[in-house]
Amino acid sequence: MLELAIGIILGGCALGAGCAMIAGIGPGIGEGNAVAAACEAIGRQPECQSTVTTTMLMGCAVAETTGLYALVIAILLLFVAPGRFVNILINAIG
Amino acid sequence: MNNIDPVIKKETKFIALVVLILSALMQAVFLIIGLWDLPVLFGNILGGVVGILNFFFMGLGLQSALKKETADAKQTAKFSQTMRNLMIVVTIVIAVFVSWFNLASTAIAIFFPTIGVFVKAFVINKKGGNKE
Repeated sequence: MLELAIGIILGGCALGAGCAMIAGIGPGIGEGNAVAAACEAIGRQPECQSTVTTTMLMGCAVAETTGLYALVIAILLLFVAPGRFVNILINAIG
Repeated sequence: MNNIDPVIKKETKFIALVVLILSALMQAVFLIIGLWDLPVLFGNILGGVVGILNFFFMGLGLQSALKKETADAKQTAKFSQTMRNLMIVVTIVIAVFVSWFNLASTAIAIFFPTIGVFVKAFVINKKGGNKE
């Protein structure tokens, strides 16, 4: 029974990590689109390269934040949470 | 080093400054709540350096993407993001398994550049746009 409970905990953590990483799709697509749009803008007005680069850099950094959050949560779910949950379970059983 | 866009250098310096200030603030908070020890400091340094490097490499990746055609630029940006995410995964795994680094301070310090970006955006908006 204990093995089953531990298995469910590990499976739940792995599933949670996988679900969290769905959020990593958005920043990748968004960053790619931002760079593509910046390429077109610089192509049209090369004299604005500095302004476009600064704005794009800041925009990409903001867009990437959600991906970083998801990544850190997924890693914590994979490496930290299972140990903690199993400890709690074993302490509860006694 | 000479090929790096001055804009990227300037923004990275600003982000590094913000990370330094926020790191000092976090160390002070850990000290006040009585949880400060050396792993907190090492974790903060590791997280802060990786955060700054992440921003710098993002700038370099975008700089090289801007010199390419639109389709290639998208691929370059995605590749750059994948590599940087891998760097962060390795950092967090190191913080989890090596007892010299505090996991909480490492994870928090990685997000300091984001706060810097928000500060920058706020300052630019306050001034009424980027006048370059």
